[in-house]
Amino acid sequence: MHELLPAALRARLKALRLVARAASGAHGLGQHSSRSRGVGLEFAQYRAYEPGDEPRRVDWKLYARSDRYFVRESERDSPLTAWIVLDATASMSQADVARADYTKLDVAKSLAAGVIELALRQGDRFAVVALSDVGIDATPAGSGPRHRDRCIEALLRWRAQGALPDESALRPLWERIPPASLVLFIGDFFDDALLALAERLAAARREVLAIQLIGGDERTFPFSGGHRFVDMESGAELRLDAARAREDYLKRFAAARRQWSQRLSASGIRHATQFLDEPLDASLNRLFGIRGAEGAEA
Amino acid sequence: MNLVLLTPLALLGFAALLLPVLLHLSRRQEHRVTPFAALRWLAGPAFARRRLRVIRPWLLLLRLLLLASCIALLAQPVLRGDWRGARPWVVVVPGADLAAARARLPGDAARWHWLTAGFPEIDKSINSEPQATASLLRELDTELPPDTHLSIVAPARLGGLDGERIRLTRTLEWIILPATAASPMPAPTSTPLRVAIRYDASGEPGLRFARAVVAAWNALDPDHYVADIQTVEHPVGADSTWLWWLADDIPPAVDAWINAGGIALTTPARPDTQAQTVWSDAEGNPLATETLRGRGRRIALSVPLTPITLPAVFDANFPQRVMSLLRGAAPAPVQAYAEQSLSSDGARRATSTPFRLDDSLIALIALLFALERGIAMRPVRSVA
Repeated sequence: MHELLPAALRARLKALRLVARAASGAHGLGQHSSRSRGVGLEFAQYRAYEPGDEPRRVDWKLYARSDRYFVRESERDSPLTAWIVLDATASMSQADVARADYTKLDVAKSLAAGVIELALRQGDRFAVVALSDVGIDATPAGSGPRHRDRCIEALLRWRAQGALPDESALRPLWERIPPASLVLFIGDFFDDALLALAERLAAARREVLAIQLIGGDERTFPFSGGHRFVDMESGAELRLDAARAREDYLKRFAAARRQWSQRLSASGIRHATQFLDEPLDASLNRLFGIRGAEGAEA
Repeated sequence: MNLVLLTPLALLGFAALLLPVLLHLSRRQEHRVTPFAALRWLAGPAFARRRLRVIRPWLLLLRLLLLASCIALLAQPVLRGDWRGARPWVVVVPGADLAAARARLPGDAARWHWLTAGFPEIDKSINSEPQATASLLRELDTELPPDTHLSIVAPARLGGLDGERIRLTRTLEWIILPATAASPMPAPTSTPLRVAIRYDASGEPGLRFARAVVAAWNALDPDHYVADIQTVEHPVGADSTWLWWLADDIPPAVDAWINAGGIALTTPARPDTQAQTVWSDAEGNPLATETLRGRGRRIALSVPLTPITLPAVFDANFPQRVMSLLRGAAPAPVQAYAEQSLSSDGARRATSTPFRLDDSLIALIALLFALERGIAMRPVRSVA
């Protein structure tokens, strides 16, 4: 078992911030700009005094100039709810040949743990969701260290198995994730269903982000000789000569990645690619890095 | 020419040939199982279903050959018969006039060989030692295939015979030529045979019998035997053929003469285990024993040469008896006129000497093994 949150990743979380692109929720006080106006630091607008406003919120200097009561309003910072959706299907048990016990699911869990830690520091609410053949396994959204521990416990429990359930089984996810919350998909997106789900959520006013996990072997295809390639999800297998199939595969896979990128961008989903043989914070940096955070692109 | 296996059961070992074939086939089926989630973007030339495929076929071929050679070696193959080819043979007995023979046998279809050990080609020089002609002829007759025509070029006088008429399995063509000047055959001798008789005081009583014996020989064959009668002090000449020693002890000089090829008739000698009785009386008591000494012989009478101890001295055939003792067993004739020694009245054909193939097989195995290792050790390019 790999350490869920390696020290190197934990140290680099300082340079990251969970930022929602759209102004989000109207609940509570947090770091995120919200659509609701109220008390706060950032000036938003003046509005006319209405009976019932607190006298201390009246801008007396403006009254002196204009002889009218104006109430000074600021943007109210609000907390964010981050839903971290993990693909826990069998294909996530893919690992590189060079490091056979380090699966995509391990990486996904580490990334999720990092984002949870990030949300905890910012005082945001968070929840983790696993999608596998048994359906949806989700923790409720919450905040605080105890909720963090609950989520970590759930992460450790999950195993990669089965294929994605059909659409009806995924419906509860819609009901759970309220609009304007941040949804971070972590998965390989090889299955079209996950991508379709992300697209629909993005279309329904959820701020969707995606981290696509791609193995080093899948990127470079270092095999040679006769192999029997087995798909863990469908059980399909293909015997072929790896060296001869390499060029064609690399071409097709690159095309598929371009297509994912286009579809995600078209739906307004910010996304990044995390390779298995890369440092863990590579994709988090692209998505949540303070420097050039908005320019995140895989 | 036919190939014969001495241990044909070893051919069962050919079942072992299945082993490398199976090895080369089964390894093809071992695909490394690789979990690969991105399978749908993977496609390739599918040899997947073709299960029976040989990898490194050249190596397999070499291994099969190597195994087959080993099994063939175990089976001990031999070649019989015509491994020298079916062209007619002409063998020339050394001493025959080669130029004359070539004139008699025109054409170059035949193979010309010397009739010496190993049957060298006619171009090769041979030493002119006397050859066992009859034996060589029989050997050649056995080794040549039955239908090969054989001609023999021989001088008029044929040496190297062994008393047996030459019987061969095939009809020969004899070409008899006068001998070349280089190898004159010794003419039959008619020189007198010198018989040395040495005596001392103890042997003097027998001297008159010895004299009488030589005289009796000369009566049959006038002047052929020359008696050289001296006392023991006189040395025995090298030109003497026989020696009649009428004294007790034999000095070393006489011993050396016997060893050098002389034949001596002596007085009783010390018992010798190697002595062979050559003359016994009516009761079976040995009268004379013969001992081989070097290249010569010593015939020892068991009793002194007196009428009392040896009454046979008065027999009429005593001179002939002594003569036969001295001559010993008649040697087989080693020379004959070629025309008379010829016979080709079909001796039964013996099985010919098989030619063993072991050496060439072992060389082949070593070569194949070296090749096989060389190819097997070569790094495998990505197995196609």
